[in-house]
Amino acid sequence: MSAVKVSDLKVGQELELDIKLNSGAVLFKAAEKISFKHIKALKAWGFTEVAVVETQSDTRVENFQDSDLASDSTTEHIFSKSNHEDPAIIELKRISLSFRKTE
Amino acid sequence: MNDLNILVRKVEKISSLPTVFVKISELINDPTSTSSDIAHVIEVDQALTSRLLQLANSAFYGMPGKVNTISRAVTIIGFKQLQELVLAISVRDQFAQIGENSPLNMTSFWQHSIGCGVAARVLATFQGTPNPDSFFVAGFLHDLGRLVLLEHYPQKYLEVIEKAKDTDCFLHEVELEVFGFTHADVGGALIKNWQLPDFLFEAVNYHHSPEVLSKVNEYVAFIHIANIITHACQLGFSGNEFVPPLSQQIWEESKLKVSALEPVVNKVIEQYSEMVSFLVAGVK
Ligand SMILES: [Fe+2]
Ligand SMILES: [Fe+2]
Repeated sequence: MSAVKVSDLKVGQELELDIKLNSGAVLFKAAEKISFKHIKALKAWGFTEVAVVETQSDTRVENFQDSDLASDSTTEHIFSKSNHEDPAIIELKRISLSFRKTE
Repeated sequence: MNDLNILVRKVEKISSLPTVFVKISELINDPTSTSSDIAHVIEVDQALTSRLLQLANSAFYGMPGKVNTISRAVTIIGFKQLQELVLAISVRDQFAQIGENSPLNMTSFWQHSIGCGVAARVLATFQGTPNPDSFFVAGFLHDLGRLVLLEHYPQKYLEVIEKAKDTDCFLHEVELEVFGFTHADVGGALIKNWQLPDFLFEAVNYHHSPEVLSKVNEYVAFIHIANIITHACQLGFSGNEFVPPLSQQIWEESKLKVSALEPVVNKVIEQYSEMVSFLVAGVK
Protein backbone atom coordinates (compact mmCIF):
# COMPACT_ATOMS: atom_id res chain seq x y z
CA MET A 1 0.00 0.00 0.00
CA SER A 2 1.18 3.52 -0.59
CA ALA A 3 -0.25 6.89 0.31
CA VAL A 4 -0.57 9.05 -2.76
CA LYS A 5 -1.36 12.73 -2.89
CA VAL A 6 -4.74 13.31 -4.50
CA SER A 7 -3.06 15.70 -6.91
CA ASP A 8 -0.76 12.85 -8.02
CA LEU A 9 -3.47 10.20 -8.49
CA LYS A 10 -3.65 8.50 -11.85
CA VAL A 11 -6.77 7.26 -13.55
CA GLY A 12 -6.93 3.48 -13.24
CA GLN A 13 -5.13 3.20 -9.88
CA GLU A 14 -6.95 1.10 -7.32
CA LEU A 15 -8.10 2.25 -3.89
CA GLU A 16 -6.62 0.22 -1.06
CA LEU A 17 -9.09 1.31 1.63
CA ASP A 18 -12.59 2.65 1.83
CA ILE A 19 -12.74 6.44 1.60
CA LYS A 20 -14.97 7.65 4.38
CA LEU A 21 -16.51 11.04 4.99
CA ASN A 22 -16.40 12.55 8.45
CA SER A 23 -19.97 11.48 8.99
CA GLY A 24 -18.84 7.88 8.51
CA ALA A 25 -20.52 7.51 5.14
CA VAL A 26 -18.48 5.66 2.53
CA LEU A 27 -17.61 7.91 -0.39
CA PHE A 28 -15.69 5.27 -2.35
CA LYS A 29 -15.05 1.65 -1.59
CA ALA A 30 -11.71 -0.11 -1.45
CA ALA A 31 -10.75 -1.70 -4.78
CA GLU A 32 -12.53 0.93 -6.83
CA LYS A 33 -10.55 2.12 -9.82
CA ILE A 34 -9.74 5.79 -9.85
CA SER A 35 -11.48 7.74 -12.56
CA PHE A 36 -11.40 11.45 -13.26
CA LYS A 37 -14.63 11.74 -11.29
CA HIS A 38 -13.00 10.17 -8.23
CA ILE A 39 -10.18 12.69 -8.31
CA LYS A 40 -12.61 15.57 -8.64
CA ALA A 41 -14.74 14.32 -5.76
CA LEU A 42 -11.75 13.62 -3.50
CA LYS A 43 -10.51 17.16 -4.04
CA ALA A 44 -13.96 18.54 -3.47
CA TRP A 45 -14.25 16.77 -0.14
CA GLY A 46 -10.89 18.09 0.93
CA PHE A 47 -8.96 14.80 0.90
CA THR A 48 -5.26 15.38 0.40
CA GLU A 49 -3.93 11.81 0.39
CA VAL A 50 -5.42 8.40 -0.24
CA ALA A 51 -4.11 4.85 0.00
CA VAL A 52 -3.79 3.05 -3.32
CA VAL A 53 -2.72 -0.47 -4.19
CA GLU A 54 0.97 -0.55 -5.02
CA THR A 55 1.25 -2.34 -8.32
CA GLN A 56 2.03 -1.54 -11.90
CA SER A 57 -1.16 -3.45 -12.52
CA ASP A 58 -2.59 -5.29 -15.43
CA THR A 59 -5.78 -3.24 -15.36
CA ARG A 60 -8.38 -5.84 -14.53
CA VAL A 61 -11.61 -4.00 -15.09
CA GLU A 62 -13.67 -6.83 -13.62
CA ASN A 63 -12.45 -5.74 -10.21
CA PHE A 64 -14.48 -2.61 -10.52
CA GLN A 65 -17.13 -2.37 -7.82
CA ASP A 66 -20.29 -0.42 -7.96
CA SER A 67 -20.77 1.68 -4.87
CA ASP A 68 -24.34 2.64 -5.68
CA LEU A 69 -25.82 0.28 -3.15
CA ALA A 70 -23.96 1.72 -0.17
CA SER A 71 -24.50 5.28 -1.31
CA ASP A 72 -28.17 4.79 -1.81
CA SER A 73 -28.70 4.03 1.85
CA THR A 74 -26.52 6.99 2.83
CA THR A 75 -28.57 9.32 0.67
CA GLU A 76 -31.83 7.93 2.04
CA HIS A 77 -30.51 8.37 5.56
CA ILE A 78 -29.36 11.96 5.28
CA PHE A 79 -32.56 12.97 3.48
CA SER A 80 -34.80 11.04 5.85
CA LYS A 81 -36.16 14.24 7.41
CA SER A 82 -36.76 16.06 4.14
CA ASN A 83 -39.97 16.46 2.18
CA HIS A 84 -39.70 13.77 -0.46
CA GLU A 85 -42.34 15.35 -2.63
CA ASP A 86 -40.55 18.65 -2.95
CA PRO A 87 -39.06 18.84 -6.47
CA ALA A 88 -35.99 20.73 -5.18
CA ILE A 89 -35.33 17.96 -2.65
CA ILE A 90 -35.82 15.25 -5.28
CA GLU A 91 -33.24 17.01 -7.44
CA LEU A 92 -30.81 17.48 -4.54
CA LYS A 93 -31.12 13.79 -3.70
CA ARG A 94 -30.34 12.89 -7.28
CA ILE A 95 -27.31 15.19 -7.28
CA SER A 96 -26.17 13.90 -3.89
CA LEU A 97 -26.36 10.34 -5.19
CA SER A 98 -24.61 11.09 -8.43
CA PHE A 99 -21.59 12.26 -6.44
CA ARG A 100 -21.09 8.83 -5.06
CA LYS A 101 -21.58 7.07 -8.35
CA THR A 102 -18.36 6.22 -10.11
CA GLU A 103 -19.27 6.59 -13.73
CA MET B 1 -29.68 39.56 31.47
CA ASN B 2 -30.61 36.19 30.03
CA ASP B 3 -28.30 33.20 29.62
CA LEU B 4 -27.71 33.90 25.96
CA ASN B 5 -26.43 37.42 26.61
CA ILE B 6 -24.28 36.26 29.50
CA LEU B 7 -22.71 33.65 27.24
CA VAL B 8 -22.08 36.15 24.47
CA ARG B 9 -20.51 38.64 26.88
CA LYS B 10 -18.18 35.92 28.09
CA VAL B 11 -17.24 35.00 24.56
CA GLU B 12 -16.75 38.60 23.60
CA LYS B 13 -14.04 38.89 26.21
CA ILE B 14 -11.99 36.09 24.72
CA SER B 15 -12.77 36.84 21.12
CA SER B 16 -13.37 40.47 20.50
CA LEU B 17 -13.51 41.38 16.87
CA PRO B 18 -9.98 41.19 15.42
CA THR B 19 -8.17 44.54 15.47
CA VAL B 20 -7.05 44.23 11.88
CA PHE B 21 -10.68 43.99 10.83
CA VAL B 22 -11.65 46.99 12.95
CA LYS B 23 -8.78 49.07 11.53
CA ILE B 24 -9.60 48.13 7.96
CA SER B 25 -13.25 48.97 8.51
CA GLU B 26 -12.29 52.41 9.80
CA LEU B 27 -10.10 53.02 6.77
CA ILE B 28 -12.76 51.84 4.35
CA ASN B 29 -15.30 54.17 5.91
CA ASP B 30 -12.88 57.06 5.62
CA PRO B 31 -13.27 58.54 2.12
CA THR B 32 -9.74 59.94 2.15
CA SER B 33 -8.00 56.59 2.59
CA THR B 34 -6.34 54.86 -0.34
CA SER B 35 -5.74 51.23 -1.20
CA SER B 36 -2.14 51.56 -0.08
CA ASP B 37 -3.28 52.77 3.38
CA ILE B 38 -5.32 49.60 3.65
CA ALA B 39 -2.46 47.52 2.29
CA HIS B 40 -0.17 48.84 5.04
CA VAL B 41 -2.53 47.63 7.73
CA ILE B 42 -2.87 44.20 6.16
CA GLU B 43 0.82 43.75 5.48
CA VAL B 44 1.57 43.83 9.20
CA ASP B 45 -0.23 40.50 9.42
CA GLN B 46 1.85 37.93 7.52
CA ALA B 47 -0.71 35.15 7.53
CA LEU B 48 -3.49 37.44 6.39
CA THR B 49 -1.29 38.86 3.65
CA SER B 50 -0.46 35.49 2.17
CA ARG B 51 -4.07 34.32 2.34
CA LEU B 52 -5.35 37.41 0.59
CA LEU B 53 -2.72 37.07 -2.12
CA GLN B 54 -3.71 33.44 -2.64
CA LEU B 55 -7.31 34.51 -2.89
CA ALA B 56 -6.60 37.28 -5.37
CA ASN B 57 -4.77 34.70 -7.48
CA SER B 58 -7.53 32.11 -7.20
CA ALA B 59 -9.71 30.85 -9.99
CA PHE B 60 -12.65 32.69 -8.45
CA TYR B 61 -11.22 36.09 -9.33
CA GLY B 62 -9.71 34.66 -12.49
CA MET B 63 -7.18 37.45 -12.93
CA PRO B 64 -4.72 37.16 -15.77
CA GLY B 65 -1.14 37.37 -14.50
CA LYS B 66 0.09 37.09 -10.96
CA VAL B 67 -1.07 39.41 -8.19
CA ASN B 68 2.00 40.02 -6.06
CA THR B 69 1.10 42.95 -3.87
CA ILE B 70 -1.64 43.62 -1.39
CA SER B 71 -2.51 47.01 -2.83
CA ARG B 72 -3.10 45.35 -6.19
CA ALA B 73 -5.15 42.64 -4.47
CA VAL B 74 -7.21 45.39 -2.82
CA THR B 75 -7.89 46.90 -6.22
CA ILE B 76 -8.94 43.55 -7.66
CA ILE B 77 -11.08 42.35 -4.80
CA GLY B 78 -12.57 45.74 -4.01
CA PHE B 79 -12.70 47.63 -0.69
CA LYS B 80 -15.96 46.28 0.62
CA GLN B 81 -15.36 42.70 -0.42
CA LEU B 82 -11.91 42.87 1.05
CA GLN B 83 -13.32 44.01 4.36
CA GLU B 84 -15.66 41.03 4.39
CA LEU B 85 -13.01 38.53 3.42
CA VAL B 86 -10.73 39.87 6.13
CA LEU B 87 -13.61 39.30 8.52
CA ALA B 88 -13.93 35.65 7.44
CA ILE B 89 -10.19 35.06 7.64
CA SER B 90 -9.76 36.75 10.97
CA VAL B 91 -12.77 35.11 12.60
CA ARG B 92 -11.42 31.81 11.39
CA ASP B 93 -7.99 32.59 12.89
CA GLN B 94 -9.52 33.92 16.09
CA PHE B 95 -11.48 30.74 16.62
CA ALA B 96 -8.73 28.40 15.42
CA GLN B 97 -7.60 27.69 18.97
CA ILE B 98 -11.13 26.97 20.07
CA GLY B 99 -12.49 23.51 20.04
CA GLU B 100 -9.70 21.53 21.66
CA ASN B 101 -12.24 19.99 23.97
CA SER B 102 -14.87 19.89 21.32
CA PRO B 103 -16.66 16.62 20.67
CA LEU B 104 -16.85 17.68 17.01
CA ASN B 105 -14.02 17.53 14.52
CA MET B 106 -13.02 21.14 13.91
CA THR B 107 -11.67 20.61 10.41
CA SER B 108 -15.03 19.19 9.39
CA PHE B 109 -16.79 22.07 11.08
CA TRP B 110 -14.80 24.64 9.07
CA GLN B 111 -15.34 22.64 5.90
CA HIS B 112 -19.08 22.82 6.49
CA SER B 113 -18.82 26.58 7.05
CA ILE B 114 -16.81 27.03 3.85
CA GLY B 115 -19.20 24.79 1.92
CA CYS B 116 -22.13 26.94 3.00
CA GLY B 117 -20.24 30.15 2.22
CA VAL B 118 -19.25 28.96 -1.23
CA ALA B 119 -22.77 27.69 -1.96
CA ALA B 120 -24.25 31.03 -0.89
CA ARG B 121 -21.79 32.90 -3.08
CA VAL B 122 -22.55 30.67 -6.05
CA LEU B 123 -26.31 31.08 -5.55
CA ALA B 124 -25.92 34.86 -5.42
CA THR B 125 -23.76 34.87 -8.54
CA PHE B 126 -26.19 32.59 -10.30
CA GLN B 127 -29.11 34.87 -9.54
CA GLY B 128 -27.15 37.96 -10.50
CA THR B 129 -27.22 39.40 -6.97
CA PRO B 130 -24.62 42.13 -6.37
CA ASN B 131 -21.70 41.60 -4.04
CA PRO B 132 -21.52 37.78 -3.95
CA ASP B 133 -18.54 37.82 -1.56
CA SER B 134 -20.68 39.10 1.27
CA PHE B 135 -22.83 36.00 0.79
CA PHE B 136 -19.71 33.94 1.28
CA VAL B 137 -19.06 35.63 4.61
CA ALA B 138 -22.66 35.20 5.79
CA GLY B 139 -22.60 31.52 4.88
CA PHE B 140 -19.19 31.06 6.42
CA LEU B 141 -20.39 32.48 9.74
CA HIS B 142 -23.80 30.77 9.83
CA ASP B 143 -22.94 28.07 12.40
CA LEU B 144 -20.38 30.08 14.38
CA GLY B 145 -22.69 29.95 17.41
CA ARG B 146 -22.22 26.20 17.57
CA LEU B 147 -18.49 26.74 18.05
CA VAL B 148 -19.25 28.97 21.01
CA LEU B 149 -21.51 26.34 22.54
CA LEU B 150 -18.95 23.61 21.93
CA GLU B 151 -16.25 25.67 23.55
CA HIS B 152 -18.25 26.70 26.59
CA TYR B 153 -20.23 23.57 27.23
CA PRO B 154 -18.21 20.68 25.77
CA GLN B 155 -19.73 18.14 28.14
CA LYS B 156 -23.26 19.39 27.84
CA TYR B 157 -22.89 19.59 24.09
CA LEU B 158 -21.80 15.99 23.89
CA GLU B 159 -25.11 15.16 25.56
CA VAL B 160 -26.88 17.29 22.96
CA ILE B 161 -25.21 15.33 20.16
CA GLU B 162 -26.04 12.01 21.78
CA LYS B 163 -29.61 12.98 22.49
CA ALA B 164 -30.07 14.16 18.90
CA LYS B 165 -28.76 10.79 17.71
CA ASP B 166 -30.96 8.78 20.06
CA THR B 167 -34.10 10.70 19.27
CA ASP B 168 -33.41 11.28 15.55
CA CYS B 169 -33.75 15.02 16.09
CA PHE B 170 -31.88 17.95 14.64
CA LEU B 171 -29.15 19.41 16.83
CA HIS B 172 -30.82 22.81 16.95
CA GLU B 173 -34.01 21.25 18.30
CA VAL B 174 -32.10 19.59 21.13
CA GLU B 175 -30.05 22.76 21.73
CA LEU B 176 -33.25 24.67 22.29
CA GLU B 177 -34.41 22.05 24.75
CA VAL B 178 -31.13 21.87 26.67
CA PHE B 179 -29.91 25.49 26.59
CA GLY B 180 -33.09 27.41 25.89
CA PHE B 181 -31.57 28.84 22.70
CA THR B 182 -29.93 27.50 19.54
CA HIS B 183 -26.55 27.97 17.89
CA ALA B 184 -28.32 30.31 15.46
CA ASP B 185 -29.34 32.56 18.38
CA VAL B 186 -25.80 32.51 19.77
CA GLY B 187 -24.28 33.36 16.39
CA GLY B 188 -26.78 36.15 15.89
CA ALA B 189 -26.11 37.58 19.34
CA LEU B 190 -22.37 37.49 18.74
CA ILE B 191 -22.71 39.32 15.42
CA LYS B 192 -24.93 41.96 17.06
CA ASN B 193 -22.41 42.37 19.81
CA TRP B 194 -19.66 42.87 17.26
CA GLN B 195 -21.84 45.50 15.61
CA LEU B 196 -21.56 43.82 12.25
CA PRO B 197 -24.10 44.70 9.56
CA ASP B 198 -27.73 43.62 9.91
CA PHE B 199 -27.67 41.39 6.85
CA LEU B 200 -25.14 39.16 8.62
CA PHE B 201 -27.22 39.09 11.77
CA GLU B 202 -30.38 38.10 9.92
CA ALA B 203 -28.72 35.48 7.74
CA VAL B 204 -27.09 33.80 10.73
CA ASN B 205 -29.85 34.23 13.27
CA TYR B 206 -32.62 32.87 11.05
CA HIS B 207 -30.88 30.21 8.97
CA HIS B 208 -33.03 27.49 10.55
CA SER B 209 -36.19 29.57 10.91
CA PRO B 210 -36.37 31.99 7.99
CA GLU B 211 -40.18 31.92 7.94
CA VAL B 212 -40.43 33.88 11.19
CA LEU B 213 -39.27 36.98 9.33
CA SER B 214 -42.01 38.99 7.72
CA LYS B 215 -39.66 40.17 5.02
CA VAL B 216 -36.95 37.87 3.76
CA ASN B 217 -33.93 39.26 1.90
CA GLU B 218 -31.57 37.34 -0.40
CA TYR B 219 -29.08 36.78 2.39
CA VAL B 220 -31.55 34.93 4.59
CA ALA B 221 -32.89 32.95 1.64
CA PHE B 222 -29.57 31.96 0.11
CA ILE B 223 -27.90 31.05 3.41
CA HIS B 224 -30.88 28.84 4.29
CA ILE B 225 -30.65 27.08 0.91
CA ALA B 226 -26.84 27.00 0.88
CA ASN B 227 -26.84 25.18 4.22
CA ILE B 228 -29.15 22.54 2.76
CA ILE B 229 -26.95 22.14 -0.33
CA THR B 230 -23.90 21.77 1.93
CA HIS B 231 -25.63 19.02 3.88
CA ALA B 232 -26.88 17.31 0.73
CA CYS B 233 -23.35 17.21 -0.71
CA GLN B 234 -21.87 16.31 2.69
CA LEU B 235 -19.25 19.01 2.51
CA GLY B 236 -17.68 18.88 5.95
CA PHE B 237 -19.77 18.06 8.99
CA SER B 238 -21.38 20.37 11.53
CA GLY B 239 -22.79 17.75 13.85
CA ASN B 240 -26.08 17.17 12.06
CA GLU B 241 -26.46 14.02 10.06
CA PHE B 242 -29.67 15.04 8.39
CA VAL B 243 -30.31 17.53 5.65
CA PRO B 244 -32.34 20.28 7.35
CA PRO B 245 -35.84 20.94 6.01
CA LEU B 246 -36.09 23.26 3.05
CA SER B 247 -38.59 26.04 3.62
CA GLN B 248 -41.04 26.02 0.75
CA GLN B 249 -41.73 29.70 1.20
CA ILE B 250 -38.04 30.58 1.05
CA TRP B 251 -37.47 28.42 -2.00
CA GLU B 252 -40.25 30.23 -3.82
CA GLU B 253 -39.00 33.63 -2.76
CA SER B 254 -35.47 32.80 -3.89
CA LYS B 255 -36.79 32.48 -7.45
CA LEU B 256 -34.38 29.64 -8.00
CA LYS B 257 -35.29 26.97 -10.50
CA VAL B 258 -34.90 23.29 -9.73
CA SER B 259 -32.90 22.98 -12.94
CA ALA B 260 -30.36 25.47 -11.54
CA LEU B 261 -29.36 23.14 -8.72
CA GLU B 262 -27.05 20.93 -10.73
CA PRO B 263 -25.01 23.74 -12.30
CA VAL B 264 -24.94 25.46 -8.89
CA VAL B 265 -23.61 22.35 -7.18
CA ASN B 266 -21.02 21.83 -9.92
CA LYS B 267 -19.73 25.36 -9.36
CA VAL B 268 -19.73 24.83 -5.61
CA ILE B 269 -17.60 21.70 -5.96
CA GLU B 270 -15.25 23.58 -8.26
CA GLN B 271 -14.67 26.40 -5.76
CA TYR B 272 -14.93 24.47 -2.50
CA SER B 273 -11.55 22.79 -2.31
CA GLU B 274 -9.75 25.99 -3.17
CA MET B 275 -11.50 27.87 -0.36
CA VAL B 276 -10.80 24.97 2.01
CA SER B 277 -7.12 25.21 1.28
CA PHE B 278 -7.17 28.95 2.05
CA LEU B 279 -9.14 28.79 5.22
CA VAL B 280 -8.67 25.37 6.77
CA ALA B 281 -4.92 24.89 6.36
CA GLY B 282 -3.39 24.99 9.80
CA VAL B 283 -6.51 24.03 11.73
CA LYS B 284 -5.77 21.42 14.32
FE1 LIG C 1 -27.08 25.66 11.64
FE1 LIG D 1 -25.02 24.52 9.01
